[in-house]
Amino acid sequence: MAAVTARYARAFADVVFEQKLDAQKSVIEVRAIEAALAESPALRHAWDNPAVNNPTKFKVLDAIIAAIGGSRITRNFIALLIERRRIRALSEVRAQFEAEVNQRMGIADADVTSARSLGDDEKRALEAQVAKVTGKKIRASYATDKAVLGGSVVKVGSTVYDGSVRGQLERLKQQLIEA
Amino acid sequence: MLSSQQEIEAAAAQARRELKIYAADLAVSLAEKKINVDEATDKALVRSFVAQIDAKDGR
Repeated sequence: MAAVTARYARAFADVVFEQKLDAQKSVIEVRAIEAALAESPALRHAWDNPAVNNPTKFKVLDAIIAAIGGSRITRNFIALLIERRRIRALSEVRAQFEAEVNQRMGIADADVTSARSLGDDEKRALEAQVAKVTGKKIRASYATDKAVLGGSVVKVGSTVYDGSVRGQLERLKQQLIEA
Repeated sequence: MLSSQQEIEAAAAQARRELKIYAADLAVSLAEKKINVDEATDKALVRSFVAQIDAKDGR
């Protein structure tokens, strides 16, 4: 299934970049449709039901696209997923599309966790350094968690940069065990 | 098949390892309770972390 959804995601990304659309806006549009689908069992049922004809399904889609100010390209992509009975996999397709967009634009998402809210200057310095190390533009999201005790933990993809007090204690524990 | 002596040695090694883990856990959890990072220290920690982030640090 992952290979199939990746194919749809790549094809959509190809069209978005070829048409020079705002890729981030396309991501937001697909997210909005994903949210509508998650919130409405009736919509899920209707779009996934072979007994409901495509023109009826597309009317609902057109109304949603109009409400969110979505592009024709996004509309056609979602219509394709509905037509091919792949709409159930929209979350997976959206995640892969986002990853594809990030890769093509050289963007990396960074999740930063710290014990307190970081100041703007700290955020700027952190993002600049992570950008330097990864060679990518960083799109950071911040969270606080008292459990880190102090310092910060930065997660970029599957790579973790741990500068937290909690991390130092964990490393100390390992050293004590292995001593 | 393990001899009795080997069994005793294996059990002793296992007990020593468990004791080490317990002691390390205890030491770290006690340290954790004692640690109180004030804002100035935390800012210094973040500054130092930022300065030290390097590609090789990721895991």
